[in-house]
Amino acid sequence: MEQIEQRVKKIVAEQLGVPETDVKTESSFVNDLGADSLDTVELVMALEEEFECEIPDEEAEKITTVQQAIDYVSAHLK
Amino acid sequence: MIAHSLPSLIIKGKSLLPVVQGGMGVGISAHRLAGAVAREGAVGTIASVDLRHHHEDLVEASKKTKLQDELDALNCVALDREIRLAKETAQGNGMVAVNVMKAVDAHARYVRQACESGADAIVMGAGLPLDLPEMTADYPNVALIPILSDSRGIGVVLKRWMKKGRLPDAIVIEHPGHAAGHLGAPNVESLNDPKFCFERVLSETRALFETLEIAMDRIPLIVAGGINSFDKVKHYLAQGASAVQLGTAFAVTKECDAHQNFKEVLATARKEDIVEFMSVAGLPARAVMTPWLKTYLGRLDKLQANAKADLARCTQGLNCLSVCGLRDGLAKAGQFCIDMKLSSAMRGEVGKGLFFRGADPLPFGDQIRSVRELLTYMLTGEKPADLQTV
Repeated sequence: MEQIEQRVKKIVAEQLGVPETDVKTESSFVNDLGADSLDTVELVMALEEEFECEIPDEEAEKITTVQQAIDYVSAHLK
Repeated sequence: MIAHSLPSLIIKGKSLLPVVQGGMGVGISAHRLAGAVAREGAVGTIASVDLRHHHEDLVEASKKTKLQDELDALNCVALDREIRLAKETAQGNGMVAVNVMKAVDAHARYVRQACESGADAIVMGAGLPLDLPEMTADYPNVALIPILSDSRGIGVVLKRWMKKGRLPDAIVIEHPGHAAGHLGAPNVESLNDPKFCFERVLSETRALFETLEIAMDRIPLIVAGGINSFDKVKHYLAQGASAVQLGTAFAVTKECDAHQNFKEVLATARKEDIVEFMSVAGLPARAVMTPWLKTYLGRLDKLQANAKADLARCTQGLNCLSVCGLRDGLAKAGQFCIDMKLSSAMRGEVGKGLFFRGADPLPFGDQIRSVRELLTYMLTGEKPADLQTV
């Protein structure tokens, strides 16, 4: 579990160009980390690649915080 | 058909004039304009948003309800009428497209209605049209055309759509530094970011096609914003675009569905009259500095300080936008009712309306001419005889 959290945070930091220390589990991509709509879609695509899972558009729209990303990946990991 | 020597735009196997008329809401490009453009063999685009303003019976019916669902239903009736009338005018020529903005709350409903009513294409901008393929899955013959502004947005849409086994049938590349209405940039300061330069977007998109193994001629690219001469058409076609799209130039044609006053405000605006500001949709927008806009911008600090999330601020109950600066209390976005302001402009209310316009001079200066004259000039360089010195 902890490993997933670390991997998600690393991807978030890379995709949004913020230091990993700024990425908290409760961080919102848009409100706290300065992401725009394109950033969030690219982030979802990066998560799909890293964890080899499919995130449908309607699910992707609901992922707005680091915690939600961790939860989704944990629940759908192959 | 207008005789010209430029290569045709091909969408869904149909050969079209390489000059496209862009969608303009509220009610600026409805059946008269889109039908007239399609009749000449080009793509004419109806703007789907809030078309009930063109139908007296639907305006009357609207007064009896404040329920979003009922107002949306009236708008679907209006959209159906407009598409059928445009197709009737087009007589099988060209294409009748329908523009649906992703930012509009009822966008999925408008898309379904457009497909059911026989639209040839759905054009979607003002947000990322990621779920457009699913919405139109039952209508595989309807062309899908996203509007984007940079190669990064194009890349995201292509990759997401390819997972669903669908590719856009064309892509409109809109330059926020030149286009009218809502602009695809995060704020006013970034409207002229070099990443929006057409030459750059065209070349970066070709590189994307190569990486994603999409054949170079599979998806026509249509550039939009500031194209106001035959020379510019030739230039961008030589740069790899398959067509150009014009908005304001078509808004000032005789056939445009808006009031004569609307056309005159756009046609006579000088460069210094054209301003950019944040719209309620959270995107920058470009319009003519008419009396209402001047007053609004003068009071903006006060209005923003007073921003408050309050459903009652949507006085019509239409909730047209998924996210609205006024209703949702977003101080950084605009603080006015965009539907009331744009429909007011369409009716020619110069004092009250909001008049969206592109940044650049128009092909025929302040003249209001026909669709055919405009298309002829953009395709051949030939101006109407009495305008040859303009």
